[in-house]
Amino acid sequence: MEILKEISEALQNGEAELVEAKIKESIASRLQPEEILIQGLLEGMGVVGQQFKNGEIFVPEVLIAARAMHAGLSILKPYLVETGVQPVGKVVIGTVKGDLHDIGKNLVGMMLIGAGFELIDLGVDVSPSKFVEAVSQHNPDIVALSALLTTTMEEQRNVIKALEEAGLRDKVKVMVGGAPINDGFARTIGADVYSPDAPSAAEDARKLLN
Amino acid sequence: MVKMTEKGYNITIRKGSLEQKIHVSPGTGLWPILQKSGLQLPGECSGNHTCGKCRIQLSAQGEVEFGWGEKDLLGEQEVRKGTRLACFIEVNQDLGVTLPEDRMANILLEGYSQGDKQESGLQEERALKGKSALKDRALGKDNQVYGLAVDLGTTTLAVYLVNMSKGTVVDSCGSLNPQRSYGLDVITRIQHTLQAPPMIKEFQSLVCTGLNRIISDLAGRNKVAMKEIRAMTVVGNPTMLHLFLGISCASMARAPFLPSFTDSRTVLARELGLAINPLGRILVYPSISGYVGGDTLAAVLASGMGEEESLSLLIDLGTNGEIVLGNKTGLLSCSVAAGPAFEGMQLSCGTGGVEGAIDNVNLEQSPPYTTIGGKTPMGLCGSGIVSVVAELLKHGILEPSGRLKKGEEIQSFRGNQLLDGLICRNGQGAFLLAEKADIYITQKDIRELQLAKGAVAAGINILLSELGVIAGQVERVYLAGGFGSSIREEHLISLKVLSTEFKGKTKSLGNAAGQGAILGLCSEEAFNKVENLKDKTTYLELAGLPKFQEVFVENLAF
Repeated sequence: MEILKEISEALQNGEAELVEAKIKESIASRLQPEEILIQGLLEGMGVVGQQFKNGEIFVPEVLIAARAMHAGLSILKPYLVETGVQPVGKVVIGTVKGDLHDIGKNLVGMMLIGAGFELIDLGVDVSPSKFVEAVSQHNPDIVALSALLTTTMEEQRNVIKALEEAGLRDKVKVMVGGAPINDGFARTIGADVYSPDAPSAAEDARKLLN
Repeated sequence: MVKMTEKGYNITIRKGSLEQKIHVSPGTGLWPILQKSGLQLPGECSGNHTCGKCRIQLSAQGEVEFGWGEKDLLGEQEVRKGTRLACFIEVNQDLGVTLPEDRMANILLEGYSQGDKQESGLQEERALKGKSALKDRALGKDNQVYGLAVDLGTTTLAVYLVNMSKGTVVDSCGSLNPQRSYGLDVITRIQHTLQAPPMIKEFQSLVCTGLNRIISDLAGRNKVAMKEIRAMTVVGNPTMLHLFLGISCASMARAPFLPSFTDSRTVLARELGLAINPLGRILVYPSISGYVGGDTLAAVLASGMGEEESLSLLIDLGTNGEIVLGNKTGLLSCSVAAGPAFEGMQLSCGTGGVEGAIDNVNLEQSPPYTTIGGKTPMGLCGSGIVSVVAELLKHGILEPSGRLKKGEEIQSFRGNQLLDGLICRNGQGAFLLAEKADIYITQKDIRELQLAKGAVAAGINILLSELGVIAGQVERVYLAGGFGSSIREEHLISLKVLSTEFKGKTKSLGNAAGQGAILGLCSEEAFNKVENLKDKTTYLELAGLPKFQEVFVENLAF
């Protein structure tokens, strides 16, 4: 569909108003909301993710594209609900206790939404008990933890422990990320996967659902 | 049961002309042995098998197996050369270990010029001859009073030997900070002390041992007896000061990043085992917050900005970055995580300011670079990276967004002459600077630099906005630290680290922190000014500001 390609490109260029207009047009043309979502918006974010990963575009471009994505989603949402389209999964995300860094986490959040997930963002400086509370309340498929300092990365371990103690560890998958984090650390603390960047996090999240 | 006596093994460690022989128990790790030997070994991850820098040559009768992941960290070339990584090796036979020799580090010591009679120079001379309680107490029988001004940097230690009676700097010397093998940045070192509290004493001991080596050098070559050195001022960032005094930094590691103390401290040399007169007084400068320390206050003192009517900006980018804006009425300060990229670290071909580092690039010349010491190029240091990016922007090879163009997109004449430089490395676009040595800058390196410069530019912009002033109102921009003295104003403006309104307003202060330490050593009045500066400087925590992210992202483009 030509118009779906146009939506994808408009999103990649961060043209929020054009995205909105094209989505309204697609709805009027009786295209399926799910198709518009997947082949228009998610397709566009997928390209953004790849280009960000190889350095062709950078943080500002991703943020602008994400803004266009959000604009598109607000228009599309009621139609998705009407036709019973579900997100591919649900993720609870947050930056751990003692850490205030959120740009990385926000980029991961955008990529996850861009991959079709529903996102619950707990913000920064989030305690283990708050993560546990969010898991009980929202029943996510995945919990994603961000930490940017070697001094706060230990908190990721504490969150996993807290989930174990609450008997919730086996109900979710745990993803971790942040500058000082690596595979070895993720394995040591019992996380399911370590993602080195936002686009990889979205790919890893999809894989975790299987 | 017959008790088996444990067999041990002999290790011979060689570094240049130095040699040490030790006997160790079987199964002991080689990395800790080398740490204890005192012969400095490169490395930044405290032996945690992630940095790949503790390279050695090994000789042994039997095979020494590779550790899991060792070959990957070394890379094919090094493996072929027979290089090994010390952190992966356990001693299970006699071994011969050869450590690489140190490269001469270009440690910044200049910043004080005895003969400099211009503005600040004259002020300093007067200050140096001023009254000082330190000096009075330190007076020796021959009336020659010697003192040391010490700048404890995360990366380098700089020490100035001062004749306090004459008010002159006799000599200076520096070295790399021995704490580095446990981590290049303060957070990593703080982390060690959290995981193992005895590490606080270890870090204290490492820095004091490092200082003593420098002091011994200085005293020796200037024929000054250790006991004639009776006073010392110490400046440094808060983490360095905490570790120097053996005080816990636990609370600095997590929000809200509070230090254990910020006031000035005095201790006796013998309490720290420093190799000067045991009763010599060590005066540690006060700090502003967990991340703006005595070194920044000392730099502000040296600049004189706290006494001027006019508005000034001071930027001190070393391993960490501090920014101060203000005048005699008051000052605002903040701290930014700018470090690595501006220092050449964590980049594909990045290196510190050592011999052979490319420190300036001019694409219109051949070769298009100069190196420290004029040696064969071996990497790019901070000023080199900033200059190559400025040049790539100038010749239309790099877009202001930070994207490296593809050959066919380049329009400029010179740009087209440089097409051969556009290559592919590590799966991405890159620009080749030195073909034989294979030194290049990749797309990802440029992105790293953008993050660093975005943070600094954001810090400056937020301070301006919080103070309610615009860039045009700033009359002077002081650049302190290695960053300031090696990176050119035109490049800082090309990269939009500094806005164009700062053109012609920058002044390089060299090691301003060191200068400030010297001033406080010789003059009580100068030291009191530091205490006064602390009182009138407010700290702004950028991490907590909602608008930081927005300003940061706005400042990423060139």
